[in-house]
Amino acid sequence: MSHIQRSPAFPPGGYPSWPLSQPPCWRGFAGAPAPGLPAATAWWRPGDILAFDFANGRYMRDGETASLGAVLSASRTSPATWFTDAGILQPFDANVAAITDRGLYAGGQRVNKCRNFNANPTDLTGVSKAGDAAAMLTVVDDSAELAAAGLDGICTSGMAFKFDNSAGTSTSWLYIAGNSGNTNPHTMSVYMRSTGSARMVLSSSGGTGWMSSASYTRRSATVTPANSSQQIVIEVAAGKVVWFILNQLEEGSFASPPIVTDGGTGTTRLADAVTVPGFAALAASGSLQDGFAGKAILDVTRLTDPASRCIFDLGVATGDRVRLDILTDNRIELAIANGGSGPALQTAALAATGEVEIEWQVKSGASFIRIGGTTAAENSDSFTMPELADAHLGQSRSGASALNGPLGYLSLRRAV
Amino acid sequence: MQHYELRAESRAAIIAMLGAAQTGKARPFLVQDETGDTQVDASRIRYPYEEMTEDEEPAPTGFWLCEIWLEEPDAELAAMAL
Repeated sequence: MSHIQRSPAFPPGGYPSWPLSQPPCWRGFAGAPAPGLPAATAWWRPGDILAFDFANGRYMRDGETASLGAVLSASRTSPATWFTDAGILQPFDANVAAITDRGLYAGGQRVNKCRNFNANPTDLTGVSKAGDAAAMLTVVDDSAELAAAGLDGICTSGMAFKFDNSAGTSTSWLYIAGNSGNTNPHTMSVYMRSTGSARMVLSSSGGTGWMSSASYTRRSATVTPANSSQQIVIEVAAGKVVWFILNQLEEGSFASPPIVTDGGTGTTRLADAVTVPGFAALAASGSLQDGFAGKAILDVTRLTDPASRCIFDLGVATGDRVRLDILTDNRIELAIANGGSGPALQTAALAATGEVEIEWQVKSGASFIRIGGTTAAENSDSFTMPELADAHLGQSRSGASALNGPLGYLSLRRAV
Repeated sequence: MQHYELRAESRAAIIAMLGAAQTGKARPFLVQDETGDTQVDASRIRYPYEEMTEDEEPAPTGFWLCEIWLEEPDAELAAMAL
């Protein structure tokens, strides 16, 4: 009598082998399962040892589905905000990675220099008016419009500023306390709706104007302050009304996600430090030291930044690492350094904005970058891989070169 | 969250204070950037900035400020902070 029990779920003779046209999706290959095979359970590519599908909230480590905490460690001792794909603004507590269905937002440090309470105001601290005496500045309940704009997750009280110049016969101005403090380029931004033409300027330094806006829309302009005491001014024509919230004045060339101010001398949104816990062990078990490859999907809607933007930095020190960056001229660079020097591949400048798929291989004698499936740079330089002790995502290991944009997907595997 | 504010006569002096405060700690307050310059840990520390007067036309006071937010109390920073 046999003591071997056959599993009833296991077909006699085992699973059938598969035709090349129908690779087994249960091993990670894409496509429908071959007849008789179980449905797909893996969304990563075969051979990946680490995969972050930020946009869909799923993660893999060493071939197993993993929790976010098992694959990613986030440090940022300030709150933050970030948008969903539908444009809804979401709050994130300190030390919680800003991840939505748009992806991971790894942001650099920004300071909102406005001194009012730019969300959930209860009074007019930090805001004042000038011009037509008939203009009225108040805090009003605008819950429905804020919710319609996807701002109710931040503007929980439903209150907003209303600057009503409907009874006025001349232009009125609204001043938001908070100076530029220096003459480096600044970006001002505000969510605003209006019944007619309005303008936002940085005192005498210029700005932007628009006609009526029925719903809250984020307006922004980047200007170089004429001096260090420039502040946001909202100009409203006679007979018009504006409602606004989440005003922001920050040093930099683009409007970062809104920073909720506290009425103080500037509110800091600290930088994200995003790392992979236990990366050294994972790199060793996956033999990444022999060369590694991977894929990233990110949104490069904003190009030509004044600073390079790091997608990842894997290594052990600033002179011993592999970095993938978007350079200031929109080229993608894969730079390997060991002992302070090493080869670098650079693609041509990205031609289009929007979502981009970048693949790479870092291997001595056979490195490449592919953009959208097409080889965009390659070389056969020989090098010694730096020690892969840690992994920083969306910024360099020194905390610089923040990606400041959504990283939807990233995966790593051993090079073939 | 613990909040500390440092004030000193220069950025270099702020960096020196942070350097002294980080001694023996698992996670440093300062990092070296790609050019070899010393930077603060931007995920916990606001970049040092010039203190300005509160006048209508603000002017530098001659001092620098720096703010730090930590999850746990730090005795060294507490002793240095404003």
